[in-house]
Amino acid sequence: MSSKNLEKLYREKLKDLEMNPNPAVWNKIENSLITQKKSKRKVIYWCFSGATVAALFLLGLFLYQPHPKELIASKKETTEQSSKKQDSTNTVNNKNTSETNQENNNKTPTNKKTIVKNTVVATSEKKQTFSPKKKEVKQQQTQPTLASIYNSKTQTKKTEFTVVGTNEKHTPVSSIKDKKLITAISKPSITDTVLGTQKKNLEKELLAKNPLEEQHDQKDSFRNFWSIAPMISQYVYGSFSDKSTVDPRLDDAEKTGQRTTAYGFNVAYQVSKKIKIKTGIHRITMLQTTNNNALSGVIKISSFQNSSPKLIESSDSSFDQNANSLTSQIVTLNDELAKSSTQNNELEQRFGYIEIPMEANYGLYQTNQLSFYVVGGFSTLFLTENNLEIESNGFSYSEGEATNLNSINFSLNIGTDIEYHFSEKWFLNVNPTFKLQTQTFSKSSNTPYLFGISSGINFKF
Amino acid sequence: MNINEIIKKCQKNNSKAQATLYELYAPKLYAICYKYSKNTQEAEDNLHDGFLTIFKKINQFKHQGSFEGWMKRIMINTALEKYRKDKVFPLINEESIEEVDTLDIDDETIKLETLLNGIQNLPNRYRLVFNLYILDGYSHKEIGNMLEISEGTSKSNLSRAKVLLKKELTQSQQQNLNTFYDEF
Repeated sequence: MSSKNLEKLYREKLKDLEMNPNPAVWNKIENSLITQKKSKRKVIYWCFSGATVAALFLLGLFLYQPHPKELIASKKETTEQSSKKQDSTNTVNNKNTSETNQENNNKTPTNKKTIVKNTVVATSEKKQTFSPKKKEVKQQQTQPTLASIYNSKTQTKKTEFTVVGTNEKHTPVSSIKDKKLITAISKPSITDTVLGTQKKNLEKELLAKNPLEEQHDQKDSFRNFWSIAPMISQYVYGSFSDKSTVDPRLDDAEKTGQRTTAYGFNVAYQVSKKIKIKTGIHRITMLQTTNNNALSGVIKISSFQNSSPKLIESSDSSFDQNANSLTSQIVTLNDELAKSSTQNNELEQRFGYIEIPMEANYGLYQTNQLSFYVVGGFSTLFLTENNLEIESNGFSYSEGEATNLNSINFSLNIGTDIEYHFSEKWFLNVNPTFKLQTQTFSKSSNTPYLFGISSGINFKF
Repeated sequence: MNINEIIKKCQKNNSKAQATLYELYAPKLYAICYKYSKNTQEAEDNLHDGFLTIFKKINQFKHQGSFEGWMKRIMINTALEKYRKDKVFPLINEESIEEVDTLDIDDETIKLETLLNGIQNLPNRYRLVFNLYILDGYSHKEIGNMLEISEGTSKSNLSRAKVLLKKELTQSQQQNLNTFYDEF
């Protein structure tokens, strides 16, 4: 039995030990890798399906925009609808008339009167007709009236004129009594007067309808358009909670949200004069620094509750040397920090995302050159950058990365958008926004937000 | 396929390359996990978690320095991570520490299994300190930083670990002798 140093014994026997693990471990690793790939695919699928839905929505809006011809048709329909309203009164009257007609079947009408009435009706049709479609409707509606006129006797004539009168709105004829009416109609001069009155009324009606036409014209002048713009934004990071996202021990430390710049581009579609839908892709970064003298007391390699160290590769080939160089760096850092404990230390947390916003603008004030919108929407953010860095008197060291950041985050966005259209094709927009982050941290209830302003030169097409 | 090709393929998430990498390095890395863990189950869990981290972070490996060293560090970190939040470590009276410089033991007959069992049976922090200091060459200062303990605590933990190991090994040796005599 030889006396042997325990340390030496262990070093010799266990240093380069190799052991074969249970084959089940690899199966488990393989399964985990497959699940990871699947969940990655799910995220990509989710992202793409979201983008597809957005794209389809925009495309749908684009395709379903009424064609100029359809616009005319719809305009006619509107006119028809208004005339139908009038005609419905007629129909009621017609019904009454036809009932009366049936009652007075045997009695014969006066030809003269009928002719005059026909003329009146015909003239009124001519004047009233704004479009061929309307004419058709008019004819359809007036035909039974005419037919009833032929069969009606003196008593019904009043009703007939009432019909025409109602058609023309407030035609004095409606108040004319039977006898007077017969006399009046038999006299061509009075007929002229009647026609004249109707003409005036029709003109009034036309005038009254003009604003409608103008409205249509105005609508015609609006064209849906797309716009695309490279955007640059400045954001300031903030949080509703004082709690540290890195370590609860830093809850009391002073935290400052830093200003960061974001880049990207926007695509927008003007759905109607007031509504615009926007999406895009942006690269944004959030940055918060924690200032604390006590920081050095807390800092130890990967000692933060919500952090894990980033591995640093060394050029040395031996593992032990590597390990030593890595740890000596850490030791240097901690020494430095310990020395500077009375000075200002900073922990900088930086995390970046690819942001895909989906927003709707609603126009509150619009002139030819200037538009003012309120903006609401949401963004999906995909984590791309995650870094914790300690800075102390110009000495900085990467502490690793936060382990409590979700890979996907959502934000609720509200803001305003001011557009200045300086040419037919180009406009400048300035967009102050508040973005409330909802799913940033997995283990912390901390709700950060971004407040910032974006701007870009937009091209319309 | 050389190791650089395997790494490059692993960086592209190639399943075959991942399997090859595992085949090549699992025995070495499993031994590390085994030494840092209290039992086989925990060692297997660490090997699983460690390899997943390796595959996840393999893009960060820039082909500078030893790849094996890089993987070993990941495995050690995985093992340490398990205990990092475990703040309940046994407190020891530093005065009661006796130095264990020599060990009366037959290094020819001692079984590897006995040595490994000795480590695994140590309290968690003693085991970590013993492994980091004796087997992986970290200094007490470094260990202090890694485990959030003071340098002194690291030293006393190591001494305590050695005392416990000596006891365990001596007992084991005694048992072996007894069995040997019983056979006669």
